Amino acid sequence: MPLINFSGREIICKLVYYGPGRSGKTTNLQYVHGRVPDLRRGQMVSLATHGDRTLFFDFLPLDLGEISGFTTRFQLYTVPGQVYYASTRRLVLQGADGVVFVADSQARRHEENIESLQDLHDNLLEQGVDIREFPIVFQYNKQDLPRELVLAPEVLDDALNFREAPSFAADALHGTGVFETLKAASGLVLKRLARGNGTAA
Amino acid sequence: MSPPLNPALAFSTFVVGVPNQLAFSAARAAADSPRPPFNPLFLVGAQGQGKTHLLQATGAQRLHVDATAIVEYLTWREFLAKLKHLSREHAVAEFNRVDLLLLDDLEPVGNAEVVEHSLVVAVLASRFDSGLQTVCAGEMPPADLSGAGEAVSQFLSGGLVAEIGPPDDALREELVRRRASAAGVSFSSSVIDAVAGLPCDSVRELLGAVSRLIAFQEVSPVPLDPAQARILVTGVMESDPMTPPPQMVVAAGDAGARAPLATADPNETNSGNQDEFGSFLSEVVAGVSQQVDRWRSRVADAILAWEAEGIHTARLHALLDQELPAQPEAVLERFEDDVNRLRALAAEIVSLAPDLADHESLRDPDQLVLAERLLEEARTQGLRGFIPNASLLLTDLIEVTSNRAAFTALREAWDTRDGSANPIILVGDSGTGKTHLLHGMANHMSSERGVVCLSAGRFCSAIAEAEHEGRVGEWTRRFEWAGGLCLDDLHLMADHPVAQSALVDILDRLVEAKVPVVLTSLVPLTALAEFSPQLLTRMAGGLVIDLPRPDREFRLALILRLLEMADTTGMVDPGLADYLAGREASSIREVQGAVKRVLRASGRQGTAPTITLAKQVLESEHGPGPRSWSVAHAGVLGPTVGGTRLREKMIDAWPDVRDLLNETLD
Repeated sequence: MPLINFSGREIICKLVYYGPGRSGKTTNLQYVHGRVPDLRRGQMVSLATHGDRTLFFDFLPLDLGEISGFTTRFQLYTVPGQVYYASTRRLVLQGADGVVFVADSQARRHEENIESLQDLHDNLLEQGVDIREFPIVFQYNKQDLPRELVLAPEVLDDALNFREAPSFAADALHGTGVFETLKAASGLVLKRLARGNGTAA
Repeated sequence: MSPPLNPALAFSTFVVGVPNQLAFSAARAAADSPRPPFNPLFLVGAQGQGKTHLLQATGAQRLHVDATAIVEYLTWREFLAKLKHLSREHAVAEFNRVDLLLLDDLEPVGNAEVVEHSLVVAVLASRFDSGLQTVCAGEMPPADLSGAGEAVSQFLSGGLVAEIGPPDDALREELVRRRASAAGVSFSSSVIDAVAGLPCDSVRELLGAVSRLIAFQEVSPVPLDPAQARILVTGVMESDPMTPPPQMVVAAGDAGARAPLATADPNETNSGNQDEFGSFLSEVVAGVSQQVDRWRSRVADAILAWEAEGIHTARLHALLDQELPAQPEAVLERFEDDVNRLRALAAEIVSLAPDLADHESLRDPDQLVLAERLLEEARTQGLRGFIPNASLLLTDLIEVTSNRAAFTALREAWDTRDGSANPIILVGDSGTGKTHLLHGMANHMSSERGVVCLSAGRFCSAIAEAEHEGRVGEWTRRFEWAGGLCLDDLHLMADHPVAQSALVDILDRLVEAKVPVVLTSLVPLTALAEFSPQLLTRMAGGLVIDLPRPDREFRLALILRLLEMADTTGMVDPGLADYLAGREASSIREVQGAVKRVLRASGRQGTAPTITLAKQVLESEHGPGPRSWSVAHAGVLGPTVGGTRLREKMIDAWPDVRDLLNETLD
């Protein structure tokens, strides 16, 4: 999917919220959905079954209207975090222009964060995406939980964010860090607009 | 070398008003005039008033007036850094080669530690004495630049100091109007008045504020009102509680549709952040605008780069003039492709015809078609005169058993063009139809690239001429583009080693490209003793076909055709034809001659041609009889400088008067 279509006067950005199960990806989208005026948001969709294969993800289209002569749309997706939805994750990741990796800050979920990040890398590589150039933002969710239960953002940065991508502490349930994360991811994607590459295959 | 000037900073894009009128006029005069009217010119103004714009516009205009002018744009620090590494003589010489020196951001840096003040003055004074314009810009007038050295300060004060003041209402209004217009957005007069009325001393800041208005207006279907515009520019709410804060509104549903102005629902928002989505959208708008407009700078960079290489860039300039082109990247890529194609064409054209190197079309990607034509011309230059005789057609030749092999080979060579029999060499005595076959084949070969058909004699002459001019290689390369080559009387090249070598070169190219080549020779290849082994080898690799003397079948067919053409009754005496065909003949011409003599006699008597008449005419004659055509004896009267000369081609030395008459009457 081309990021910027000069002839069609259209810009479509696909952002995928990735992370382990129950890390708060859907909560992020629900918060965004709740803050978007009715006139500007599409219907948030959750897709269930298709044939004998289970497809399960959230989809929130944001129609941002005409900007600089271009009809601009953002499409926010979440992937199912559970391990057994690997094929669905690959499917949703296809054509992504950027990824928000939502990590669960709870110490006991740390291994799952690492596994999910590895899964993301594997899937991007499989789709021929250069991870070093691909827009990715980290969100360390659930930072509102008691300190003794969560890892500090710095610790999570050290463990997950070794490429020094933008990262944000968040409490998606109450909205803290949700739009900051979205803005950072959008910014990275938009910087690559005119290049027309880097989209997941 | 200083970095290239920013093409966006031109006089045409500079908004002129009372506060900057003097500076603008002085800069314009400095750019346009070959002799500096104000030297040095010093532009003084606060940050963001347009000093750099005017400096760069001055440079751009000078280059527009004189494309060969050397314009250097440097900041004061860069200028001092350059001087630091130069001796006085070198510094003066270095900067005296610059026609227009533009020095930006003059500041009272402690340059005494960097470079001697006297060196700065020496360089600037030398430029002044040489009549070379220097334009400087800074925030302080020269008199206040004591930190730059007293002598420097005094020198700079000696020219014209033009101040750029803060924009007044009128200038601000014009700036707002122009910026909005350039972005394709229109504001109401009251909005423009409101924004222009805000206190803002910096043009740069004002334009930034207008950009904010534009970004909001672009996503809002409802025109901004003055109060909202003021809030957007200043970020301060007015005391009027009835004035709603501006909201960016975007379409939902149909693409491109505009939604009505909506206010944020307080129930939707986080109390800690009144409009998270609005803030997000604002950043997206800014990001998209920036990225969408990025193509302009890429096109501008491309223009500078290509023009530096002497390439015409009218197509890219036209692209810049568009508000929102369909495929700027594609246009750039296509332009680059065209330039590469043009360069390939130019390289080939220059190798073929060096005199065309300066042709304007070779630097203009919009003239590719012309360049292609030029190449075509270069490729065939000098070969266009070598065309076959249009009256000699294959269809006029009589095909019989004895010459069928030649016909078949020639047709197949052209029809299949598979190179399996290339070259074809037709060997036969004089009068066996070689030349007719050769020209007939050349006429048969219809090719867009044209078929080259010439005699070996002309080939040798052309090679001798090219050799004299030292262009043999260039001349032979042109044959690469022939659609076919037909070369007659190959044996005439016996004494021409250079021509033979050139022919080897040509044969190699054409045979490899499977372009049909047909050669004729009076003598078999084995008798071409004076030929180089290289040429003989290449010919031996082709197909050699012997053309026999006209046999009875051929003679009968030819005689019947001639009699039918002459007879008006449509009744040809088969006995006469049989009689005539029974007479031996060494050449086609001899058969034709005999038939014509009989027809003339019958014409004189007013009777139809008969065997009796034919016998009277032909058997009473003591003609030369069948000729014997061997290389060493009859038919070849003797070697000449050009090779061998055939008896029938030497009318002046014809040994028998009847033969001469026959040939002449034919």
